[in-house]
Amino acid sequence: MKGAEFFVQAMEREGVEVIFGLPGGAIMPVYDALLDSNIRHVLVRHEQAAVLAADGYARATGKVGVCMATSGPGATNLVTGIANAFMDSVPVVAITGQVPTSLLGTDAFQETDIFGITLPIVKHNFLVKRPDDLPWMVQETFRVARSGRPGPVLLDLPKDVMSAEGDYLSEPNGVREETPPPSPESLRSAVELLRRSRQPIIYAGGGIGMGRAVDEFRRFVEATRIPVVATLKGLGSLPTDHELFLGMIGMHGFRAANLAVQGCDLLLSIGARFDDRATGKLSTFAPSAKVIHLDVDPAEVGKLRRPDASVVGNLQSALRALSFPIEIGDWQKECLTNKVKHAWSYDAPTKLIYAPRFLKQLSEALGAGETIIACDVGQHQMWVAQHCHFQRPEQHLTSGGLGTMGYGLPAAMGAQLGRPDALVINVTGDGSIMMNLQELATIKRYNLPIKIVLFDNRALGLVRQWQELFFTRRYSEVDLSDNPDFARVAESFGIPAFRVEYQHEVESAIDRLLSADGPMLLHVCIDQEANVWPLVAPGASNSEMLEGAHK
Amino acid sequence: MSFQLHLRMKKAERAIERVLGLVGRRGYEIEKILAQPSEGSSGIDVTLTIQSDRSGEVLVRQIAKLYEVEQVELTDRESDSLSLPNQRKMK
Repeated sequence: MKGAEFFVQAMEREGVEVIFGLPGGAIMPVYDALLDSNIRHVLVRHEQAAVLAADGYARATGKVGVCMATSGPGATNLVTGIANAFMDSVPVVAITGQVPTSLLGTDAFQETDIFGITLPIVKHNFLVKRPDDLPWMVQETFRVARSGRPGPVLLDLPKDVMSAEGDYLSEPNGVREETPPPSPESLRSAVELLRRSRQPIIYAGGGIGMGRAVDEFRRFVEATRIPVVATLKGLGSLPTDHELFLGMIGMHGFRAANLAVQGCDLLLSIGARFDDRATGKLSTFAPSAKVIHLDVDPAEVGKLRRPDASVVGNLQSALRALSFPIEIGDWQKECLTNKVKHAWSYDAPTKLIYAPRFLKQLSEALGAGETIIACDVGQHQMWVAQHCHFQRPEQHLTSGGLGTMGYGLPAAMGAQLGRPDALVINVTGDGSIMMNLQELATIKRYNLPIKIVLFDNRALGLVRQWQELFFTRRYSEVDLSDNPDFARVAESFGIPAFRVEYQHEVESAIDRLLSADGPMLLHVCIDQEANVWPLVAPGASNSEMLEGAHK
Repeated sequence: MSFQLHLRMKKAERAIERVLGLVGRRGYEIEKILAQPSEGSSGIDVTLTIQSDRSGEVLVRQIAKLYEVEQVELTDRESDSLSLPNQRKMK
């Protein structure tokens, strides 16, 4: 059996159903072996889309997402997506072809040191130099990607190893390592802090969903009745329309959520990592609070804020141990009063389309069905986080840590392939969509019924907003007023599209979009000067939220 | 602040590079490196002398996560060592 045949069969045993990729010279033996496999290969038009689609697939399904590229430029085109998965702890396996081992280090055609290049952005990586190492390295690639705090693992496959005949002994595949529960001592100190607290807040992060602890988290919230704020990635861990959910915190957080954190006496950080966009100026974040830090990753504990109690281990058992009623009625009332007092207003004085209202209408039209929204990065991403409702974290695919423009369209493809019955929507911007526009061809080829909502403000909007606010309106390279006609672009790829400009068109446009059988693009023109509010200026405290005109 | 890290590692493709990269990337400055084969095993012993205002304990926890690292100890000139074994199995 050839190395490539063994490799493909090992992936089948790992449960791989879909691979996103694009072939080239060094990876050809694997593509040849794929012809005899049940694994579905989805041909993208740029390798970055392969890895971002694998990321979207993984987030939407909870399984490992797999992408594949050839050596050299194929491999380097994966780098941004690998970094994206690393920052957001997504289980992605990246497979790269490599020049034959005899040519390693000789500057051979399409040779690049992808192993070295990706060292800082992978959970781990392997270069398979000897056929004997192939079985255990494949097994470890998948085990490491999915265990503990998940993350990307790269497997670099020299062409001669893939072509070599050998008697490969199978390692057991599909190994899932159980995360140990937290120590009883750590739980005891957390329980003690929780019992003494009168004004606790739950700071819910992406680790709840990634750690499959959503059910335990919800029981914990129902038992303690502690109000909840979420990070961008934590949205949906509690339904966003739940009475105890105060909103997202941070730079573009909901006012009542930021204020609750600033006023709390105990902050329960659950699968969150005190990211600067969430905390604002760190030294003023939750200034009066003791901190309980629950995380699967010991390296997150004390990285940015020293906790008063740390609970390291699997979140399910940690949350079960902390699920008991506490007396916090007055505080709860204060938080919920603030939530009502600062509720979003959707009555912007414009006949044009006000993006937050559009997204609220879209979210209401989607209802509680099986829907997924994949965002790109920028103003529209923040508006989605603020104004769309999510029942589960895997309904909201967003590039949180890396902020990768171009994420949304391929992530939506991955989600749609992983969950064929879901209604998948890509909310994007005129800047972001151009970064992986070529994937409209992939959507057409596989007839993926993705609905694309493209907010077009003819600008790199979030950068424009910062230049307006923090660079005295000196606009530098943010104008995109020469954008192509996006509807015609989509149509040239064979994807029906239409455009709206006024608020009175929105309801029927959303209806038309959502009732389309196949893919469709809705081009939504918005005011170039529309900004995301509120805003905490970079380096400022979360208690200092700026407001501005709603357009 | 100066401290020392004592690592026991498995021998693997560019394992030391992985450790050194992590230390630098996390904002710590390496003053001295000593790496040699472990006595009585096929691994490598690495001692790093590090200069930083950042916490040595946080770095220890980050290094302990690396695949090839079996054990890491932190020592400074006065206090006792803090040891964190990496509990993962590996080939």
